[in-house]
Amino acid sequence: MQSLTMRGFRRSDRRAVLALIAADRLPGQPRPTATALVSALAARGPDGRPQARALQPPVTEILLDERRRITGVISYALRPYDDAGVVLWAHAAEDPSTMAVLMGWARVRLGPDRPWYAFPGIPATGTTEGLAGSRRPATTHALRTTGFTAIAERRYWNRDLRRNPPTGPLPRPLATAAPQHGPAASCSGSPERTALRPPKPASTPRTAAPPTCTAS
Amino acid sequence: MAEADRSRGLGRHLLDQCLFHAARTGAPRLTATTDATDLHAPAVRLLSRSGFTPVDTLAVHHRPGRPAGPHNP
Repeated sequence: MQSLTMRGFRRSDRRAVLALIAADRLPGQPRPTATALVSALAARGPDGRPQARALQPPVTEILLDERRRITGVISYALRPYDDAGVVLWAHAAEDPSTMAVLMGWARVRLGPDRPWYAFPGIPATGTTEGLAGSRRPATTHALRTTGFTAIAERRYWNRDLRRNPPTGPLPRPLATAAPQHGPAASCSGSPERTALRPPKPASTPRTAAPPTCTAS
Repeated sequence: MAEADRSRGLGRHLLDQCLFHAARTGAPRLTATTDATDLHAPAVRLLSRSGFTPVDTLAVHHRPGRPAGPHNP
């Protein structure tokens, strides 16, 4: 019987935890940095905003094997407004037994009978919300065997620009970027005037004459 | 894309510019996410035809709570 130990995250664990996170990266995701880890420990995303709404301060704990090596890490929190437990992120090199221990530990710590959500937001160490089902089979299995089901799914796409660069001429007319205001901003007028504006002289400030956009 | 502006090639045009800009500035790759529902089928087609490959499906998971009772206080 292995002797496993759970304890709170310590600053000295950073390197090992970053290695566990890096091992679960998807193609295109940046290598996690120490700064990103600090944000993730505070349940913040890459843009500094909270990873999920109205959470209590998250708890991050690590799992040590009998040789005191770090084999897994999990960050979880209580969300008082709906009394839900939230698994923010967890990494264990996709070892099934380690991930099962981590998930079971978090549920026991916060109460197994409360509703639970897992991987609801974008951690600072990644660029996507949700758990990658194919690349994280042990984590997915650990969730499903404890009664979790997928409630929102997104597809993640990648294009390798070095192996497969765009060819042909740059498509014209050039679109110009302009800030959109509000969560449901929309453009009015013809697409030719708004979405596809003709190229401007180089001296024209980029912020001048934005497309006709209104927030709705 | 607004409903009235769909099927006009605007998305393809914008995506092509995005690809060119990313390649020109040295980005090694471009990633995208789409909703997994049928509502995003046009975006899925656009990405597929533009050289993107699906990597994985990302899921938020939920487990309902169990109500308190005599055997489950």
